[in-house]
Amino acid sequence: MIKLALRNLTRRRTRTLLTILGVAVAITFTVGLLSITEGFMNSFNQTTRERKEDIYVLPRQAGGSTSPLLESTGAVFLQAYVNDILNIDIDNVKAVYPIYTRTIYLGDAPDSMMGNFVVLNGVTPQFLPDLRPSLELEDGELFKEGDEGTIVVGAAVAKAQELEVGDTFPLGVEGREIKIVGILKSTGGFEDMIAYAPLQDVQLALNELGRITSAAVTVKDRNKTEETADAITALHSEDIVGRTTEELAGVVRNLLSMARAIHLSVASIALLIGVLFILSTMLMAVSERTKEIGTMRAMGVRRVTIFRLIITESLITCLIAGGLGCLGGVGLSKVITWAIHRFAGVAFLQAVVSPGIFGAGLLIAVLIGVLAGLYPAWRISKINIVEALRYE
Amino acid sequence: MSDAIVEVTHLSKVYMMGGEEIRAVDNIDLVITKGDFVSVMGPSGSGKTTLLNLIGCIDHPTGGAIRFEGQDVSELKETKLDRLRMSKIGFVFQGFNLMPILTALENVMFPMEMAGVPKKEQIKRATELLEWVGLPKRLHHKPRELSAGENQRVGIARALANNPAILLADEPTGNLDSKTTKEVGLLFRRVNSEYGMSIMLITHNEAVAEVASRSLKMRDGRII
Repeated sequence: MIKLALRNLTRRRTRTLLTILGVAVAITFTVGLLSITEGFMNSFNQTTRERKEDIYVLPRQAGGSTSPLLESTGAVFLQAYVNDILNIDIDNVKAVYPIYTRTIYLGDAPDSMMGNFVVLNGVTPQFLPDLRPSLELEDGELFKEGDEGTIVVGAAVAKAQELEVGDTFPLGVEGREIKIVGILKSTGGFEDMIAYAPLQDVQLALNELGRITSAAVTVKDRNKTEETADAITALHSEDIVGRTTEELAGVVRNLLSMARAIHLSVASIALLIGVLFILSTMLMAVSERTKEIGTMRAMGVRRVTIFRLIITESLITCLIAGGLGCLGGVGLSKVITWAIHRFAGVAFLQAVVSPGIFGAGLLIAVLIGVLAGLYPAWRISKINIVEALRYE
Repeated sequence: MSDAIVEVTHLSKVYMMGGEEIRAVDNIDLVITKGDFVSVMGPSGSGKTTLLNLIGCIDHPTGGAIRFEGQDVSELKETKLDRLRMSKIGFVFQGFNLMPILTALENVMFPMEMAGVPKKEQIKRATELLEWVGLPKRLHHKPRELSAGENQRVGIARALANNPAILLADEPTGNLDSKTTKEVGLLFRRVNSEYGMSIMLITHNEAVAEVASRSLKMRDGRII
């Protein structure tokens, strides 16, 4: 049966190849888009998992949102609130880490736009060991209490700007040089685009002394995180909002789910086109073989055998297309990832081609094959033998 | 015990065309016994092909009965009719109706493969049959690489593949030149004499009809 189906597919090679190509393109899109979405999800989940803070304190002016919305509003609040947060009534705050974040344009990177920008985080020396314990140094060391004019940069930034420990960081503070003291190992995530410098250096450089863009808070009892966040908000509700990490992650996850839904919609349209494409090809193919199938029926070949033969032909076409589409999907995701790195400067996005996505690609191919094969197979298996033998 | 392969009684096939009743086969009685070689002649539209299709169980009568080796075929469900055609009936067509993607050998093997005959046996029998019809050097040629006469020989070998009880041939020489027509006619004669196989052959050609042991003439759906 398979041999016969394969032979039938070689009757009109060009048509079969074009059909395979059409379905492969549909599957390429599906696999490619799914890989990108999964890559984004993975990257985000990994970053969220590795962060140790329980609450973010954010400016009210930014609507309690994280960057980039936060940055676009230029919202800040007083660093002095940190002491108030430490001393809230419910006594659940373990530590508070003031942060000043600003995305800085560094100048054109030699090879790509990937490293044109850096998310500069002004933090206290305890921030990295306490809240980012999973970050490891590729070279150098972290800055310490009392250090000035130092910076630790993420792997992507270092690579794109060709920076090494001991180099001067392109962002100068007037009258003082910022020296790179450490380069972080790549995490493949958002962290690779970040640079960490002493808070006061950043505030001075940006003329924002005494002001911060957010604060990270750890708590003693995680069961009371929400209550603590509410208590922080209540401190200066006109200026700041306390949001739990989970709450913020949920917002981002919802956005990513929306992106996934959009990707799936695009993929569905591509797949629908794939189904219609192969359906029309199969209808044409079986119609041309009416007399031959009539002859087979006259020889006693059962309807169900004819049905299976056509479905097998459709399935083989789609499985070949599925395999090619999966490979194409990997290629597409790599091209899109490269383009995002190159032109949008986003370094953290890595497409993920998991066995699951490959499996989904092949499963979709099988579904297309069966769906598109059903009608032609049913139609041709129902033919009237006498009429089919007369067919010219 | 009767040696009738096919027994047709009061067989009719009536259909409507443009509001007019057409009696394609009109109350025919016919018996084809084992080893019988019957040719059927008659003008176009006389009902020859319809009669052959009814006997071949690929069309359904509107009246009368067909008994195949004693079994009333109207009682058989579709799958049993399929099995009957596969094992007991060999069709030979005017246009050969070979599968273009298969070689001569594979075309002859095909009915055996569908009948579940082991592969080795398929190859052995198909080779023997093709040699028997005179194509020992054409086993691996596809239909487009063969002449019309050679294609019809492959068609006859294919019809013999499952060793049927009867061969039904619908104008098998209609697409052949006179020399090849004579050769193919003689081949049917050999099938009948060497295999002892019953044959019902429709033809317009008197010379072909003459190779049969019995000749029938049809007009307006009746045997005259």
